[in-house]
Amino acid sequence: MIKVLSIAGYATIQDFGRNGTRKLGIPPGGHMDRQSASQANKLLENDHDCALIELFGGHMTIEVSTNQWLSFSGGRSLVTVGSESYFSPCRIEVRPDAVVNIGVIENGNIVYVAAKNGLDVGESYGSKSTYTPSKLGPNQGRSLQAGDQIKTDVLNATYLASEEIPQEVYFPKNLTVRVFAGPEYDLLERFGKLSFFRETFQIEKVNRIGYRLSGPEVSLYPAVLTSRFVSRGTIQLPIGGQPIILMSDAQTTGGYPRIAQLTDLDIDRVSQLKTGSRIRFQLV
Amino acid sequence: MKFLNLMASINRIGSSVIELRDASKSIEYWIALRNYLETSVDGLEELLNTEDSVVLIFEQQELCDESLIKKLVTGFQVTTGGTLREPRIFKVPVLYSTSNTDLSDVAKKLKLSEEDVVLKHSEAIYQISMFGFMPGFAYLTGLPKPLHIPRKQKPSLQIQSGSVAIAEHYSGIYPVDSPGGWYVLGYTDFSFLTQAQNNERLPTPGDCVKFIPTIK
Repeated sequence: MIKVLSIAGYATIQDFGRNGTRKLGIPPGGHMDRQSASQANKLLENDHDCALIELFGGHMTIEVSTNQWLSFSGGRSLVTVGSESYFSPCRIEVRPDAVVNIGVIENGNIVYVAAKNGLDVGESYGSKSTYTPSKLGPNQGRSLQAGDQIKTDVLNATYLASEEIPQEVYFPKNLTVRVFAGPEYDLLERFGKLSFFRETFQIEKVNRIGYRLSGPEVSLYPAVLTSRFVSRGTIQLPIGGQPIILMSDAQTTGGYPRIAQLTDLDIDRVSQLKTGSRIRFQLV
Repeated sequence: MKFLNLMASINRIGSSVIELRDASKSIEYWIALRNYLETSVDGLEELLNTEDSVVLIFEQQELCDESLIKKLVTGFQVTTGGTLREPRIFKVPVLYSTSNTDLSDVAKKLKLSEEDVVLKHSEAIYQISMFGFMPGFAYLTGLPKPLHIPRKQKPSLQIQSGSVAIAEHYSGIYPVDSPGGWYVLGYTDFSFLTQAQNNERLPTPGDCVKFIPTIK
């Protein structure tokens, strides 16, 4: 059992998300940064789709009631258990009643916390991902709060030693990312295209639904659009010309022009961009 | 105003999504095309329609073949065999009310009596044209013309779950509490997500809805 003692930020239980539920208007949801989430499971030799905790911003303290192995990945955070501490990505062995502190995320937005054999939580529409706007998924569809308990596997055998893993991918503060032209790309005016691809945008606000950018106005031919398919990685341009990058919990349809679509790998990198970071776009 | 995208188009979105769009085609066309593609395309993770498009999401990039889809769509007609499905009718009980709703406001704006609004809204047969906006929210078309009304200029901060509402040429049922710009006429305990959980056959665009007025 993992018990949340204290939390700052927004933590939810996630897996790879839902498949085939868009037809009911249910977003796929799931990890924000799939590569980091997979790394956390890999460090424990878990199945790659084991549910884990996604800590978005902030920090948290948990108590583990049994022998357990935990792994941490994503942004760089100092993980402390007793007198020992490790920087993520890392894998630690904990004893019954150990208190584990996951420190403030130093680069990136998101840290994943995995337990050996995954978190033992229920499914909703075929997934263990939490979707808080409609209260779907584990923990009654809510984000984790102090006092919440999550069932884990009871382990007996000794396993792998605690270890800090050399970081292969660091999350830079600023990024240039590749995008495909979106279906409404041609609604961009000439100067709109110039500003979108030549200027730098700042990350203004981040959450699991989308990342709002600020920068030069991206001008668009006026158009009234019907509701259209959108997904993780779609870049929408609302009135006002400030782009929004849609993320895992975005709705399944939207009415703003879809000017671009991020490449899949870049979505993971973008998800780790903190507020205030800068981003540039490059057409594939 | 630029009239791009009003013509028939086939859009590749990212690496493994194809969107077919044509503003001149009816919702019946898209529903029939979706049913047809469901049985004729391999490797689909999901297939869905909106009011003026069909979207194919492939499991793998390698299976996402625009030329094949183009070939299938060319020459497709609503009457192409085997695409018609027996639509279902969901009967949705509604408690129409003037308290805590926008019914009086709607009547005033549309220059109708409140009774007329309720009568017209509950007489019609609606069709699910698409799901979207939020889980279990169906855009229902078939709202009688005299009830067409633009969305609220200032959306309400909270529309209660179960609210039966109208805006533009749609009616809809709010599945959860949510901000929204539609006008509420009454309340129901009907939910498409509950239907989805309790029936093998999911509520699907093309299925019909009839609102049945109830008395408290």
